This record gives sequence, C-alpha cells and structure tokens, in this order.
Amino acid sequence: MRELGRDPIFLGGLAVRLAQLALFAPVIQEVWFAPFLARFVEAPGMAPWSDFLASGGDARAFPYGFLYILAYGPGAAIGELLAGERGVALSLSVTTLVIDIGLYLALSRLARREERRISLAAYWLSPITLYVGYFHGQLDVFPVLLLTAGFLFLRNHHARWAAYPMGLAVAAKASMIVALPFVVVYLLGQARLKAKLPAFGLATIFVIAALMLPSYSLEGFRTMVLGTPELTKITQLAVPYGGGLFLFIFPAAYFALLFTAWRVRRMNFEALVAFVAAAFLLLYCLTPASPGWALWFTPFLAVHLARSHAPRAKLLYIGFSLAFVVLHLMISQGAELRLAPGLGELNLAGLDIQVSGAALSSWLLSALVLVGGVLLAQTLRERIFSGIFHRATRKPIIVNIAGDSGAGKDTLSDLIVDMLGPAAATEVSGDDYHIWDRHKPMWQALTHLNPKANHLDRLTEDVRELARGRPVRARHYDHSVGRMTKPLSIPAADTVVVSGLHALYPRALIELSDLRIFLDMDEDLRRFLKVRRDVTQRGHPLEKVISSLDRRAPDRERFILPQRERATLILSLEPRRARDIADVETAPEQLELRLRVQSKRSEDFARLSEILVAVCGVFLVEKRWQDGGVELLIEGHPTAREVANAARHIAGDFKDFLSLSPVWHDGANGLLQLMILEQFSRLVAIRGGY
Amino acid sequence: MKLINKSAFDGRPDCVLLDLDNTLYDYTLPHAAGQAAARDYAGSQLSIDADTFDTAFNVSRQELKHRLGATASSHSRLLYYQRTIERVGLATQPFAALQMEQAYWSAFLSEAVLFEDVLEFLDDLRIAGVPVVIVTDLTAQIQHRKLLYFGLHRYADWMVTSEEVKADKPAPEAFELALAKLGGIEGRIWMVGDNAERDVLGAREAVGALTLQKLHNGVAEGTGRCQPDATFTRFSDLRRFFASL
Repeated sequence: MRELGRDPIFLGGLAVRLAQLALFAPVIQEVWFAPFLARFVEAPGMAPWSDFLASGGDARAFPYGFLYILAYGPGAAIGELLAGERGVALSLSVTTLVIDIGLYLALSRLARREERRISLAAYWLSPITLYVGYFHGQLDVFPVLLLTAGFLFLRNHHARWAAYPMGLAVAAKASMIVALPFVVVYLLGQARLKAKLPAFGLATIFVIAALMLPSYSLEGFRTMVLGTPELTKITQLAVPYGGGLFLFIFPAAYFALLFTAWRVRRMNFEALVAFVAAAFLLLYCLTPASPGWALWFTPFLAVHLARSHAPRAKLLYIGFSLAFVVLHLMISQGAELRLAPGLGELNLAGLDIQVSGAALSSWLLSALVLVGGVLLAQTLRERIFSGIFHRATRKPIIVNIAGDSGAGKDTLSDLIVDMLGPAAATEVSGDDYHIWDRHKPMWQALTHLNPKANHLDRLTEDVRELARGRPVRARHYDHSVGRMTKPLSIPAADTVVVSGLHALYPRALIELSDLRIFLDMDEDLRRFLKVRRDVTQRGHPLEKVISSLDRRAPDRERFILPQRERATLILSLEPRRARDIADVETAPEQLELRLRVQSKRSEDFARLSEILVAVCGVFLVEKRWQDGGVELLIEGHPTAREVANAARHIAGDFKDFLSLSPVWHDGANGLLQLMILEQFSRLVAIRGGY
Repeated sequence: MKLINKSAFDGRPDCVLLDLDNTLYDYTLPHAAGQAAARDYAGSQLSIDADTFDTAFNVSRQELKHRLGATASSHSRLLYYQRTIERVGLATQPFAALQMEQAYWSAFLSEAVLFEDVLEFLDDLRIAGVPVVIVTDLTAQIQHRKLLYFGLHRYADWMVTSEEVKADKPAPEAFELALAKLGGIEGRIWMVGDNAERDVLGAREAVGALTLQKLHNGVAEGTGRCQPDATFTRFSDLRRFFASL
C-alpha cells in the first residue's frame, strides 16, 4: 500500500476519479440503483427484489443478485445514515472506487513485472474505465475484480482456488460465464494442468449453484435479475436467414472464437488472457452493449497491450476508447452535477445529428466496431498465432537419445520425464524394437547393436505417428524375462523421448528429431556400470556379461559410435578418479562423476556457465574448437534444490512446458537435466521465431 | 528522489561506488528463506528444534561478531552454523555445518531478485562511461557468486569485499581500495547504499563521496552526520536524475 502512495499512475488516476466522484452524480445510480439499495437498507429482508417491487419500485432498477447487495450494501447503509438516498447514491461511486483500487492491485499482480506499468496505465487511465465507473455509473467493476482474482490463482496453477472467485464472478454477473469455456480449453490443452480440470469444474459449478439456486426460488429475483432485458441483447444483432429464421451474429462469432481456442489447444496463460479479452471485446462489438460491458475486456486487453510490440495496437486502443466515450456521451445516460442537479443531465445527445441519412452515433458505432474488430484481430494474431508458445507447440518435441548399452539412455530419458511430468512426455525405448526374444538362436549370429536385429522401420514409423500427435501400440521388451510383451499403448504427448542403440541411425528417424543427443560414456565407466546393472538388476552371470561386452566391441565401433557425428549434443559422464571404478563392488552412487558436454552448434554457453557456477557451485571449463564445436567440462555435486534454482534461470520460454512439480535431481543427474533444459529452451526460442 | 544537498550535484559522477546487499536487492526475504532452510536442515538432520536453533544461532552470531569485530568473517554463515551446532552440544560437525551453509545460500539465492531498473541504471552508467565499483561487506566467495547470479559482473567493472581489507565499512580501507583499483579517481564520486552509517558516513569520510541512500521498507534515512546528500526509493528515479545531470 505504501508503494501505491508513490505510484504516479495510481495517484494520477485516483485524482481524476476523486474529481469525477465530487463532480458527477451518475443518473443511472440516482434513478435505478440507489432507490433499490435505499429501500433494502431501510427494510432489510431475505427477498429484497420482491420487497422492492411490492413497494412500487421499477423492475429494471437493480438486475443484480445477493453478491452485489453484499458488496454495495454496507456503503449504502453508511450513505443512508449520513445523507439519505443521495448518500446512498454517493456511496455507490465510493464503493466502486474501493473495488476499482482492488482491481488495480489485482492487475498489478496479473501483469509481468516489466509490463506492469503499461498494463496499469492502460486500465487505470483509460477513458473507458473513467467514463463507465464515475460518469455513467455502472457497477461492472465488481464481477471483473472477482474474475481477475480467479485469473491470478490460475496463473499460479491453483485451478481449484481459481474456481471460487470465478464462480463468484458468474454468480454476481452471469455474463462473466463468457470467459469460463476458455479457461476449460486452457486447462484441457496443457498436459500438466489437465488433471486439475475436474476440481476446477466441480468447484465452479458448486459456487454458482450454491449462490444462484436459493435466489431462484424468489419471484422478485426471477423478475428483476433473470428477467433483465440485458440478456436478450446477445441475439439482437441478427441476419435474416429466410423462412422467418435469423442467424445470430454474436453467438456464431463467439463459438467460432471458442473453436479457434480449441484448435490452438496448447495455449499458455498469456494466450488465455488474450482469448478472454477477445471474447469480451467480441461481445461488446457484436451486441447493442451497455457501456459497462466495455469494462469486462479492459483489464485483459490492458495486459495484452503491455506485451504488444506493435505501437499500432496501443494507438487503436486509444482511438477505440475515445470513440467509445464520445458515442456513449451521445446515446447513453450521463450524469448530473452533484452540487447542482438542477442543471440537468450532462451528455452530448445534442451532437447526435443526422449525417447522410443516418444518426452520427450510428456512424460512430460503425467506426467503433471496425476498430474493435481490428484490435481483436491484432490481439489474436500477436498473442496466439505469432506467439512463441503456439509456434513452439504446434508439433511435439522429439528428443532422440542414442548411445551404447549401459551408457545411461534410460536414465536420461527418465530425467527428462521427471522435468516435464509423465502427462507431458512419452518414452519410446529402442529395446522394444529388438526383433527376437533373448533366448532366440539368431543372437548367436548378430548382436543387439546390429541394425538388422532391430525393427528400425517400425520404430521410425511409430515415432512419426507420435510426432503427428497420435498414440501408437508397441511391444515392450521385458528385461527380466528377455521376452517381448503383448503390444502396449504408447500415448501421444507434447514431448517424445526416443532412446535406443539406434536412435540416431536411420536417416528418417534423425530427420524427425528436434534434439539429437549421443551419450558417450567413458568406456571403462560404461563397462563398470553395465556389469553392475546386468549382474545385480537383471540377474545375468558375470562371465556372460563380460564376454558379451567383448563380442559387441566390433559392432559398437561399426554401428554405435558413428552416431556421435549425427548428434548435436554429446554428453559424456566420466569418473573423476579412474581408480574408483577398478573395483566392481563400488556402489555407483559413491562414484564422483564429471560431465563432459560437446556441442557442434557453436552455442554460447556463457549464461548457463555463470548460473552453474553461481547457483550450483560447480567447477566448469569451456573449450572451443576450430570447427566451431564447444566443450564444457563440469565437475561438482549440486543439490536438487540448487538444480531447481538454476533451472528457473535456464528455462526461459520453456518454463511453460515444465511440470508443475518437476523432480530435480542432485549431482551429475541434475547437471544432465540442466543441460537438456538449456537445449529445450533454445529449441523453443528457435521454433518461436527468434 | 529527494535532494538534500542539491547544490553538490552539479554534474555527472566520475565514478560510482555501489553497495550490494539490501541496496541492489531486498535482503530481508532471501535472508529469511535461507535461515528457514538452515533451520529445517538442523531440525531434520540433527534433531534441533526451531526454538533451540534460533536461540543458539543468535547467541553464536553475537559471540562471533564480538570476537571478530567488524570483519568479513564476522558475517560468515559457515562460522555461525558451526558455532550454533557446537552450542547445542554436538561439537564440531563439518558435514552438517557445510550443508547448512549450502542450504542457506541456495535458498537465499532462489529468493533474491534485483530491484527494478538496477541493471538499466548500471547500463546508463556504462554508456556514459562512468566506472562502477561494488563495495561490499561479507566474504568474497559468496559475493562473487551473487555478482554472477544477478549478472552484475557485466556492468560493474570492479568489486571490493571487506575480506580484501582490514575491516567492514564504514572503515575507510574498502572505499580507498575501490578508488585505487580504478587507478585513482579525482572528481565526483557517488556512493549508493542503504546503510546510513556504513555507506553514507563511511564513503563521505573516507573518500569525500556524494552519498545517495536507497530507501525501502525497514531502511531508516540517515540523520546528523549520517545524513545522505540524496535519497531515493526507486532506481527508475535515480536513472531520471542521472539523465538530467
């Protein structure tokens, strides 16, 4: 709150609001809202709408439910006490100001830090908000605050908590429901959030039902709130379809927008906010909207405008806002001077002259709708279709991990899944494409390393299907019994991790991949780990494992090692001290390992190196080769917490892809995760177009 | 931006000395997170309950500060935790002390965020050709890590930690060494810091610097001998002021 006192945007907007509050008494507040609330304050009851109607009140006076009475009632009671019905009228503006400040604070948290000032200025200093709240006198800021609070929870992935304010928003003003289908699509589209959808849906429905159903039994409520003519506005813009039928423009356009969101599928939070702004803007432009409806899109559009790189978006918004105010000064109810009500209503109705056979206001409306349409198209183009997230997620990310048996392919694959979450990543193992079960005689003639012993075409085809976003069915090689299982379903996911002896062997498979990794473990270490794994975990006899390693050596040279050249990133784990692996009894977790990373892309690892040194406390040496290759040698044992902290700095635009609760590892595995994360971050940036 | 000694600001500085902790970022939250992480470790690994830990820690910290005086090592988390464990009666436990130090700094860094416009201000100085020296208490190891973590090393040309000199600020040595590292500066020297005594009084008395105190929650404006020449709450204000000179 102390910050607010030093915030020039806030203070400027507050000064204008206070001046308006002192000067203007909005007519709709005086004529409609104040009498209802004054009556309620005088004779509070459980059925205020029926009581008001019974006392001869106008059915159009207060089309709002209990939540509005809860929000505006206390102020009205104080106003009534101090100055009777005029005090009630003034209290409406004062309460609106208090809620408006709440919305300012909520918006300052919704916008990113670097975009906060423009977002806040676009909302708080907008002619739309100043006109609607403090001249025309609508109370729409209340449900918009609730909706924005819901978005704040949603941004922090608290879907269930988001449901409560969002449900309250809809219960306060049914039109807020326009935003909810987009929230559902957002939750559905992100693998990491999908599981939260039922909780969100149930909680929202519960809140709406709990607040709406009891009122429904009240006849006055049905007449004044549910029977408000405002609801019919969504079908008023209609095109005759022939045969006495009409095509309703807004519902058609709204569902087209919703369908677009559905097709985009994986949208990030910024895209969601843009869609909600677009939906409310659409509602305003394609209906004979009350001025208050413009307040529904203003905060969300403000967030988009702050992010926008296009100056014309801001110009369009300024033009739209000014045209909006002039139009409504002509056609909507205005305000009286608070201290001189006898002077009559202030408005520009007199300017609404006939131009070329039509009222000026209609020309202005046409221009407003046109500018609104351009603004809407600009929002969707910039935030959705050109957005990094959308461009980066149009197809799944395919990661190929090749390397010899025992090099750690499965471990690396699991480490990636730990970062992304099981719902967002799917694993394909090359072992599942061996042609024969372990006991088959052909293994006497061929080793597993020989491409002829593997269904590489089938592997490629399955990865192609997964790259298209379709699930596949594949057998699974059960190492414990050495047999293939019945085919199992491999689900489609945002990231597909293909690990195997030949993951970088068939050209078609390489061309499918976005990230090509070769695990080139130190040979002595690989033999040490393989002997330990095959003997202790898989139960093979030691002699057999050793002879198998020797027998495979020629095929390793011939088929496996050449895949190094096709990789863009080569990761090698090696022992810090050779003597540690001389004894096969040494537990692998006791080994001190160091990571050697080779990249052929001349990438700049400076920031990554700084973060690894500063956060993880590692020792790191970078070498650059003449051919443009870069090598990093990293020694150290960061804790999982340090890895998590480093990840926050490395993830960049990839943060939207990470699991909500990623599992970060310590030591060499954590370093491997960070290297892969860094590559993912580059990949998303490249796919996004910069 | 409040200019207390307005006439002294008659041009751009020839160099800027900058304090780091609680001047370029808010120290409170990261420190609390770090301390909580160390406390958690003590609780889960050494069965030291939170109250015992806090009491032992505070006494240990006071004891070390008293014994070591205003030196860099008097800020050493490793020494604080070593002594805390000893005071609880567990003797010297190198593994646990190192782990607690590690937990502290790891949690600390994960919460530390530069104030808005700090890097922009440093970039303004870079473009204007004004050299910058970070002059900070504490041990060099962690201050180097912080510089890298925040990316400050891209903007600040030099750093002096109190480990390099005899004593913490406000002793003059750190300020003098800062200027010596720049090869000796004659002209306007600005000192930007949060602490009225260490930064404001120290820099003024040591090298005659013009002092700009960064104010935010929990920082009291200096008075009397410690009164700064200017105060500011936001680096954006400082940027505007610098640009106006």
